[in-house]
Amino acid sequence: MSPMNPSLSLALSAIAVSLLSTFGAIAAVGSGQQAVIDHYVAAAKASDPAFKGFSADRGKAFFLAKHTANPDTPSCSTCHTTDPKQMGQTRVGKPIDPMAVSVSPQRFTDLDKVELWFRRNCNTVLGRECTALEKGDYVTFLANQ
Amino acid sequence: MVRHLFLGTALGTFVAAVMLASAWADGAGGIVPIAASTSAQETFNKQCGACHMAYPPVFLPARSWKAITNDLAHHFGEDASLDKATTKIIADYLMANAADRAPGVPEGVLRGIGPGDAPLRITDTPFWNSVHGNISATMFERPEVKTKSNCLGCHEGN
Repeated sequence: MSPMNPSLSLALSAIAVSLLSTFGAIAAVGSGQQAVIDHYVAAAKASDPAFKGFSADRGKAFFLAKHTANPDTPSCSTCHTTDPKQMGQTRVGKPIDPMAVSVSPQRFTDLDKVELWFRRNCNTVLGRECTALEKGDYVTFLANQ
Repeated sequence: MVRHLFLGTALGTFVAAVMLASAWADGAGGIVPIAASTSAQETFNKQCGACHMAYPPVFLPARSWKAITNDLAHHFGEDASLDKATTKIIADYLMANAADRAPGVPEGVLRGIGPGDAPLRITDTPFWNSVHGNISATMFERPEVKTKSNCLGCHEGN
């Protein structure tokens, strides 16, 4: 391989850093999760032409946020706990596998299943369906956990 | 897991038979399978069992299961809705194996439930209360139990 022009190398690095800061550490996301994220990218672009990419930080804030629609289930973390690498528990005591993909590699690889649980749990916790941006941020956060 | 002598003996004998869910004791004392499709039971176990124990349908009358499966979007404070086809498979399975439809169900299971009553919780039935009446509230509040709805917090099963 021939030595790369230093200024070209620098420019490529800058582009790479810029992409990473926009999309988080998506380079590490598995192909199954990436396919689900790509679905939400398309949906987010369709609803907002100015869509700039998902944010793991926004996803984390959403995961921990407290809502008012349902006092019994104010947050994702009510059942999933505030640490997505830990086991969760349903309201009747049934264990829930961790949401973090590093611990549960099968998470977010089946779009139908992901959509089923977003529909149910967003209705339960927020009293409405979630937006494509919220779903994409959430998956991006947990795919990087 | 806490094991109580009471749960492990007299009650356990009855509940163990009931909790097989797909089976019921026949007249000769053996266990015979209920004539429900296995795939329907698997669908029920997978979908309903994702959040809670797949409660044995024999503990409620068919009209209760109909009411429950008719409004899964408002299921004890949670949206548990499924697509129409899956909901029908589960509803048909639960109703076919309900207390008033499954063969050989002891009369006691339906005792005190009027013909117009459709209790939505097994724990609201006179039968459930008659066999759990002497258990203190603190037993149900233990961390491994949490709620009366968590049968497996005390009972063997899956």
